[in-house]
Amino acid sequence: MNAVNPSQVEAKIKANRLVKTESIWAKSANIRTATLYLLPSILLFSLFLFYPMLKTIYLSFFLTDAQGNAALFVGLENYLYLFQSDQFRKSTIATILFVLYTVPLGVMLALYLALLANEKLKGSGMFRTIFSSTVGMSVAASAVIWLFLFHPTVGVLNSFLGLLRIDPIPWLLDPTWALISIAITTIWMNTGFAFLILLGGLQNIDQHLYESARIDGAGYFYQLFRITIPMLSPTLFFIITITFINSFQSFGQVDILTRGGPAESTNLIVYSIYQEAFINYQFGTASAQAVLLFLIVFGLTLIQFKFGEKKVHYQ
Amino acid sequence: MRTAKSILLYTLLSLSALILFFPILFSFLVSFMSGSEVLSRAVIPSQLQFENYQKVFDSVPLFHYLRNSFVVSALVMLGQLVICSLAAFVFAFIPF
Repeated sequence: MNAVNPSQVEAKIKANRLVKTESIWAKSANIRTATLYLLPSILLFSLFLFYPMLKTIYLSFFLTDAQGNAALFVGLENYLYLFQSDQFRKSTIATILFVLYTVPLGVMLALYLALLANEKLKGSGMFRTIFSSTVGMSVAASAVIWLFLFHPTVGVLNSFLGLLRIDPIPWLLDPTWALISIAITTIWMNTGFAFLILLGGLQNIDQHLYESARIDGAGYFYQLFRITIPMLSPTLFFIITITFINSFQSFGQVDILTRGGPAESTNLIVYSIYQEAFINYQFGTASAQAVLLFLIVFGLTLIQFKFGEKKVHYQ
Repeated sequence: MRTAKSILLYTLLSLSALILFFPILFSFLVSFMSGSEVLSRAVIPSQLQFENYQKVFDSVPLFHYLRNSFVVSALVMLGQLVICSLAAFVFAFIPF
């Protein structure tokens, strides 16, 4: 215990009183410093994010000319048009299917790989490098590689299937398979990043938990479901949210692999926005689609936070 | 028991690594193949040919493209480091 000097106490009280009578200028010192530090990011955000977003919302209420200038105010007609449009309904369904294909499988694959690579074995460093190698692949490069693997005449995937005596699959030619092919490519591209994050989460788990579980005689799967998964839940939640948003926004692989075809079956919503704006020059309906996509992703992410966070165990 | 477990683990690790790394490995292997080998769906090139590399340097200014990519990524890295660390510092240490 420290002995307290009465005069020090008095000085402290005085100082506290001084704080209370400070002017607004002095009180806002922290806010002013913070603004100064945040100024570069605020400027960049305003220029490249907030302004385009506001402009998109604005344009979604207009018909535009070919240069993308607002020409005629039409109110909610762009939205009404979309709700009645067969093509928009198709691309929404394709996008939802695509998200359902990619998110659960992708996260489970990355979790499986992370659990494998987290075991203490000789040479696990090499496997970790291989599993995370897709982080270094650009979207365009990966899509071109897969385009080659899926190719109907020179693709090797079908020759492997031939070795297993399975009939060749019309990967990018059949409407159902084309969406699956794009989902496979996307899962492959996302695996590296998800693997890295999940491996980091696994290594943050306290080893003492496993030690005491082993002493109590808990088996591998008991440990997995009672220790690993609960302790990993914040990381899992993060990676699910990120993968979810990313697969809603997939564009590059669609553009390179199928260009939305066959029969519009892989026309995911971002690709449909691109086509509407830069091929059909309908910036109004494209903007309306973008606004709807934003609302869908925003709403679903909010729902995830509302229901997911209860199940997440933060230490 | 211990060896059985590590054999199982190594098998799973190698199999997963092979499947996951195959597209990258395959594109690397294809880069050494001639056109007819590619058409015959070969997986392993019969001999190392550097013809494709020769061709790509002859047909496009690849060094120029690489320099462009390098400039862009260097600028992005520097800009992000500066701007993001400023923002992160404020959120972490200054209560406002």
